[in-house]
Amino acid sequence: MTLLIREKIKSLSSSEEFMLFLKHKRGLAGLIILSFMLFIALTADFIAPKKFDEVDPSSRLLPPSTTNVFGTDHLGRDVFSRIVYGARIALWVGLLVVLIEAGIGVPLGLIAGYYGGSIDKLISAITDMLWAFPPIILALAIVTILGPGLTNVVVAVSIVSWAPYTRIVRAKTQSIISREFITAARAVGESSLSIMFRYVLPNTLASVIVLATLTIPSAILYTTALSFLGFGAQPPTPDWGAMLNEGKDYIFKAPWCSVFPGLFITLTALSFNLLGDALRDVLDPKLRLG
Amino acid sequence: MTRVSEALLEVRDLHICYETSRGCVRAVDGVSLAIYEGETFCLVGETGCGKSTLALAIPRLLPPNARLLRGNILFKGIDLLRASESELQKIRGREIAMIFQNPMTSLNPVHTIGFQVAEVPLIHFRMSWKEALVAAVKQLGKVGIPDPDLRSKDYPHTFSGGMKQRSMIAMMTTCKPSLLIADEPTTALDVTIQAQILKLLYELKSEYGLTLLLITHNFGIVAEVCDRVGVMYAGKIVEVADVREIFENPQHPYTKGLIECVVARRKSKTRLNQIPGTPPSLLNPPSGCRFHPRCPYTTRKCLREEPQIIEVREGHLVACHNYDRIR
Amino acid sequence: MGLLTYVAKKLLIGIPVIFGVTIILFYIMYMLPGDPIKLLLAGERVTPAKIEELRRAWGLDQPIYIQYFYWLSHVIRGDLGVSIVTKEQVSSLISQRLPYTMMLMLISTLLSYSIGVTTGLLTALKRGTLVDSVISVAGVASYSIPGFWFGLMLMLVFGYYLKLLPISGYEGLHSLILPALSLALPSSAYVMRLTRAEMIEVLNEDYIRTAWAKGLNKKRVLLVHALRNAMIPVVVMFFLDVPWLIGGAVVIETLFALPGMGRLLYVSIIRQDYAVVQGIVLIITVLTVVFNTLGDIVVAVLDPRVRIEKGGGS
Repeated sequence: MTLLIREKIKSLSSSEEFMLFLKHKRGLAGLIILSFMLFIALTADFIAPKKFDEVDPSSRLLPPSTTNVFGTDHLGRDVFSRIVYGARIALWVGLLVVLIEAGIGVPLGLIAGYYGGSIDKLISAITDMLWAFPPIILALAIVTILGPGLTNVVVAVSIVSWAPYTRIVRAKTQSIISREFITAARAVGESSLSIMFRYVLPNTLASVIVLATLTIPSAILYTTALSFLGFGAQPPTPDWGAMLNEGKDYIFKAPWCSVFPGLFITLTALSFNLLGDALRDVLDPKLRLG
Repeated sequence: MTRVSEALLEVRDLHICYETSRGCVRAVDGVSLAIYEGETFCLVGETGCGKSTLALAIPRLLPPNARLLRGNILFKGIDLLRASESELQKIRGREIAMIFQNPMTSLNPVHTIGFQVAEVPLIHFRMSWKEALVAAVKQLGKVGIPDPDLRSKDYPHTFSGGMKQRSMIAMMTTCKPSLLIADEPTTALDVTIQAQILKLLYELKSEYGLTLLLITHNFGIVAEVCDRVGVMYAGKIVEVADVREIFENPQHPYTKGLIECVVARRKSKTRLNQIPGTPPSLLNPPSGCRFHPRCPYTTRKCLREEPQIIEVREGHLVACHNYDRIR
Repeated sequence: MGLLTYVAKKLLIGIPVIFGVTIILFYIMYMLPGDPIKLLLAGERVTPAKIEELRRAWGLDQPIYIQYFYWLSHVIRGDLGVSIVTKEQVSSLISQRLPYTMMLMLISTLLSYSIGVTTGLLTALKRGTLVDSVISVAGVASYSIPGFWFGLMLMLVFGYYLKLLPISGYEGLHSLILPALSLALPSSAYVMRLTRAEMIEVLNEDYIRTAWAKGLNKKRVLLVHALRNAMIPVVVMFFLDVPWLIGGAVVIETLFALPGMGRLLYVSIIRQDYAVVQGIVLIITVLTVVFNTLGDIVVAVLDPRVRIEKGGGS
């Protein structure tokens, strides 16, 4: 009898349904947080009580209150307003980086996977070597050459991390071109370029979308890291990383200047990660740990 | 072919189902069976009929989503289904051994063959590693691996399918078990290798005096190797008899159909005999006799009532309402 | 092919790779803004003729490939140049700082992998339970946290409110605790994820069932059979991770004012001390190639299937 009862309890806590429900809950949470970030980014002009660069020397380093929900920074600027405008930057930067990364990585992956041979070897070698190198160092080097500023940071981060896109697209391409409909298309005389765009690319789309969602957090984390070091967004741009850079000098006097920007970075990255995981389970379970 | 004393292994009213998102799939639904010492018992049936589940249940190697609902499996006085884990560990590999269908994935890729075979006597006979390896090499030679000393230091991926299966057999027979369960041991192998493996099993059985429980879907193998046969369909036993008896006098329509598939091929008829239809869903099995949707001898009773197992002749059991009308 | 052949092959490939990367590196450095001569003179008034003389003395008038060979010949002898700012040898600057960075890396990888592997195994064995879900979500949150912000928060809590640990400079090994934690947190979450996924996959393999069928006990099945397979990607990840952690160390060392190589890099970039930047990037490059090669070798040692050419079997 006890055997049966034990088995029943075990079955309740490890059945498929329970797992699926949990995964959906996480994805849902990610979606909610992301929607919130989108909301404040889009309505920044309306919900921000002050302009992000509105300096007020008489209200320096004030703790959170009813007038300044997140307090003020060392120049008297309202932290909440800066955070809200910063959401725009974070989301925009994340999107841009991913677009550029995909723009480089996907075509390279297509070519490598489709043609194979020495082209594949060359592209794979470059991709692997680039990916092995610590991205921050390389990005620093690029930013040093190009000069500081958010645009250059976006370029730098994109250049160092297109490798996952190439890898995934290459793998998918290799598996797709072995299927019969590709052979059929070739037999009919379709050009390689056409085949790649009409047949291969659409089939890689699901994986690319999942990957994009999952790499936006890294994009945000790297760009804010570079801004934190002072190489990214320049004042008075309310980039969250730059805010941390400015706030760190007053960490003990006015911790709110550092707590909130970092918290928002975390939440935004978290939302994309949760959403991406859920998307991946739905669209492409084999993408685990890609 | 004659019964020697009492049963070595006795399955009593076994009910096992698998938990899925759509409910519990009843893979083994009220199976009772007896296997006697020294015989080769073949458990036959289509894919999905529950024979593998039954086989895996004996050493309790079922996957985590399997649920034991009811039943006993008695082996040398112990109910295996209620034994403790430590008791089971003493029995597995030592008294009850099992070889599996797919030798390609059943061996650990990061340990040498010698290591994996030697683990068995190491654990069960408390040998030292040296002694265990010597025993392993000896057993590998016995199962027909050439240069066993050299090859015992190789890794599984350097072995062919047939050699992998031989290694598995070596692994599982080093301790001279009382019962060897072979779950479709030749299905994944080339036809030429199949015969070799079966021959090896037969030789080992004679030499060690072990009892062989062979799971297969191939009636050809049954004809060649087995003493007694049990036929399963949709989670139930439908017929049990000596091999001769079952070929000459099948009492269950399903058995008859299966045999005709084999025999027809041998007589090279122009048409292949088939059993029409497909195996039923084990989530929602048909009412009454599970075979009735595909049975040419169905009567009204078959739809309503599940047939009980009857002893038609000495040693010949069948579960069918209309067995006496089968020709 | 045997293990030794495989290792030899990997090592041989590593050397041209290092050379190739130094060429790319040198080119990037060449492209960096700022005229080194002008920086060297630091505002002294000098005639153009004198500038040309200095340029020739430093070999800066030569074509780039000549400059590269000069530079390479110095590097091989251990001479990485001189810091424009402090006039010290770059190699001695780096060698003073490297031990601190190495210690930071050591402690953080220790933390990261011990936490990561144990939680990964735990969640794999307790898959689908509440413990698993809670820890997994904590993991996702952990790699969403920016390391430098986590460091700041640690500073705040432990350095200020609790006054337990030092937050700036190096006063002894305990100064490395908060920085190591900052580096380790996101990394451990990735390690946990990988460990969990690998363990789950391995536990579903047929050969684990074979191990049970042999009558082995739980400890042996999990350690000798399951873990031995599941840990291979995790160990490899360790080697590939080390160079990446150096990148993180730049930010963390800067934040915690540790006298390490990472902070030196940051400071040198700001001061446009390009000889130092060059030297550090070179060291990091060499370390990257070394660790990647080690990773390749370790895979072959742990997984015999990797050692054969494509299309193995006898």
